[in-house]
Amino acid sequence: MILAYLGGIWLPWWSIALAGFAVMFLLPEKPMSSFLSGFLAIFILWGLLSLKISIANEHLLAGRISAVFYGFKSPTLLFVTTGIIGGLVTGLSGLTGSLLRRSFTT
Amino acid sequence: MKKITSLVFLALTVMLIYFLNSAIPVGKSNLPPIGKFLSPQHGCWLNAVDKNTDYGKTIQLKDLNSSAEIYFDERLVPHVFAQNETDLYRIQGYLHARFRLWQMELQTHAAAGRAAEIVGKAALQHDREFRRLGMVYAAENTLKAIEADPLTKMACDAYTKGVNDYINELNERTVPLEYKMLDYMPEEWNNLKTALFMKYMAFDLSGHENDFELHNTRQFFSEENFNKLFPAIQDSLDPIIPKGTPFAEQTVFPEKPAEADSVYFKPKEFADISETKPDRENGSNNWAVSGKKTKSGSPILCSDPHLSLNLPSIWFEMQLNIPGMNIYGVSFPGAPGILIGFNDSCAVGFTNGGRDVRDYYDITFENNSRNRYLYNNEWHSTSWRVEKINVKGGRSFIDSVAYVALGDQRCPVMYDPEFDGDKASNKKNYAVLWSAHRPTNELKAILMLNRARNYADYTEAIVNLKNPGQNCAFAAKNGDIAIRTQGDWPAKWAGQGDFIMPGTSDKYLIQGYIPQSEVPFQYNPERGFVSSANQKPVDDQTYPYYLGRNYPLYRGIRINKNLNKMNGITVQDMMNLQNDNLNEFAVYAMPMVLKHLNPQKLSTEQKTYYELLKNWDLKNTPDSKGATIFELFWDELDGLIYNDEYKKAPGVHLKPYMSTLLEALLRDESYSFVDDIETPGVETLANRMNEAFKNISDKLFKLEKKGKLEWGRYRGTDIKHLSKLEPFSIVDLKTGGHSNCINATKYNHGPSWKMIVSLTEQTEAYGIFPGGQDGNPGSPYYSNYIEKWTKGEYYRLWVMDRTDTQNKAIVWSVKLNGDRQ
Repeated sequence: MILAYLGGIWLPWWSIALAGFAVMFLLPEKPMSSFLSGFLAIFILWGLLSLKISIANEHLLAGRISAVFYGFKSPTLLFVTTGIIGGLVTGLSGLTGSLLRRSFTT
Repeated sequence: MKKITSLVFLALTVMLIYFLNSAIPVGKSNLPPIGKFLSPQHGCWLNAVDKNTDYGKTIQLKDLNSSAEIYFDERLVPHVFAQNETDLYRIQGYLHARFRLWQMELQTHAAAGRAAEIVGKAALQHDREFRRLGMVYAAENTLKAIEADPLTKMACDAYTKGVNDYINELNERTVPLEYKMLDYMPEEWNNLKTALFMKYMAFDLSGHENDFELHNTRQFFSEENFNKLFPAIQDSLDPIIPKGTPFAEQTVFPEKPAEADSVYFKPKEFADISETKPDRENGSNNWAVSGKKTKSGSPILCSDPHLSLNLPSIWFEMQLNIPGMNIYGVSFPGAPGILIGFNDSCAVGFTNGGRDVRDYYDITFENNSRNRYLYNNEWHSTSWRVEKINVKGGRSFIDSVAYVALGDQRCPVMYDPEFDGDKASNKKNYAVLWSAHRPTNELKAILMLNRARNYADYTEAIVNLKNPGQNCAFAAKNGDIAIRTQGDWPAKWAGQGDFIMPGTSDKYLIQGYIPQSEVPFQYNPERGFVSSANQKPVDDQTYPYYLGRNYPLYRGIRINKNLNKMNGITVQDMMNLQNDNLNEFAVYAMPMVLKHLNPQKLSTEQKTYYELLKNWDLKNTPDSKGATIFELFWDELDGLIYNDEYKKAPGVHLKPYMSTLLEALLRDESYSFVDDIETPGVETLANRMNEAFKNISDKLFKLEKKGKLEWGRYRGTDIKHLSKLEPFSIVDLKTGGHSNCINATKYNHGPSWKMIVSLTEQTEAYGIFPGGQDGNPGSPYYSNYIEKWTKGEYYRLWVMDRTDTQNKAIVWSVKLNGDRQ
């Protein structure tokens, strides 16, 4: 999570995938749990970051963007979507990292 | 096996990232690259402005010539204090970009026919039309004039530098929201873009002729009927320069070609052309009252320009100060200076002049290659301008536009067999001669006006304004008031340029422009006020030059009626007048309507609507039901009266203006169009009015059931984001007003800035526009003025004093260093 946050400061948005991949390549996790922990880590990171920004904004932007995406105003749904998108990318890359490590170690 | 599985997942991951990093087409538009867009460290979240933002700290501008300060008040209006003009306009460019960059680029792209680069193929038609109209050609000509003048060159160079200072700060994370949504990046600003912006205004305000429509309508009707449909004289006209005012001696004598009556006025071929037109309602009110008529004894100037209402707003409010100049008002993001505002000595407001300055000429080419055209009995070589239009997500489009020389002006052949505005049956070639193509420098007028101290300065400045021509009202602290119907107006013979003109010789060209010494104006008139509301500038029965046929009547009448009888005027009186909802058209029409409507023949339900109409106070207030009934009734009546005669008219035609029917009926109720030519009998006006009233009753009933009979619900106002995205727009505002009321609020159009300036020793000024300072939909300052605007309220405009740095009105500030000192 920390790696992903730090990466996000300097690198493109998909650096969260690099973080997920690297961590799971190094840690001995099973593929399924590597997906889950990667997913959860960024789901929480992105969800919380967007929530924090949006509270300071009184959900002005989240209200408008969510209405563009879903046709109705729901900042909450936008935080969840944000979390899921980030989570999926990191989960999948974590899974890849874990699989790749196992293919080298056996 | 495991290796293969892991490679498969690696591929999947890469594919997912690629997918989430690309714009995904959904229907006609694209979804933004969703991963990038939603990343809290890269995407839209970074455009969600923290409500505790210190705006001073967000300004990074460096390396000014001298030090400067920017103070923001609680409405985010910047008060800029610089030491010299170069720094001042650079800061203005920076601030415009800081708060309005996307809008600035979009509008100049649209002006240049480059919209397809951003939105794709859907904009190709628009881009071709604008390029063929010669928008870029016009901007290049104006740029030459701007750069030949030291003042405008300096201001534009500095402004461009400031805009680019901001653009260079940006990266993919910090660009405005709309760039992220459409997935592109801003390009560098340059002086041509400022010129393009000026031409966009020229298009909006001087592009509304009806040559093709009138040309066809003239052919379809007899001369007698045509003149009844489009009379050159308006009975109830109260012109800007009052009737009876003597004119300067005529020095240009436009001569009608001898054969015009048999050739030009009797066109023989329909023109199948459809052009994009600016909103017909683009207009405005302005007036200035002298101290004789005010309570304070000092003049008051009022100005409210009526334009399309959009978000971000077309206006950006600011105070610009250097030693020797202190101006407050609204500016156009895209150009330096203050357009409508006031300085320590005087105030200025504009309304559109609205004369026809765009004409079409029928060009004869030697053959289909269009390489040579006939002019004054000789074949001349065409020059070509090749327009390359880049299209997002598609192949570039190459459009070759022929240019022909008509007199001293090179004109694009806008319509030809390859381009007719999507009509597909045009075989002719029409060149457009437009005064906006000329190398004029309107910016000079603006920047000089910003410095004006008195009437002489004002006149010297304003004569530089050529296109779009404007009625410029002026008031000064020394007590002077004035108005000038300023512009470069072609001196036309009666009817010239109403239709397509023959382009094979110089016979039909404009024979000269009306000299500035002959431009009608008023300076401290006896009646104690000047005013304009886009009506005909002068009494056309005595004015030597032709003025055309298309001018709104009623706002001007209403303003003058009021100002004539008002005395001891206060600022509050002026606010009331700007917000006045009395429908002057209805004042003229209603006695006749009530005379003819027969309630005895109506059903019980229809009678309730009749009563509502009868008891209507003639005001288009938001909750008025009578206003809605009248609007629907008159619209239906207009259709009943003209639709039978127009039934077989060619597709491209023009219906009479709303005032024409009323004026005709007031003159003679047996107006020949009243009869339905499809029935054997003869219908009277009373027949048609009762028929119209019955016809609308079902519609009224349905509206009432939906709770939409109130004017503010039936019509109301939507202020849309430039992308038309509804969540970025503010819709369903319950507004009053009408184009025939002084409060000219309409569905998506209306008073885009309302300003009142009392020129007392300490200036007392008020203003408001329907929007906010920040163009970012994620900002608390995006649309925060709209609620107050809807209610007809104003903000007190705070003109800051350079030394008043501890004033409580200052919320944020920044000191910029002059590193080159």
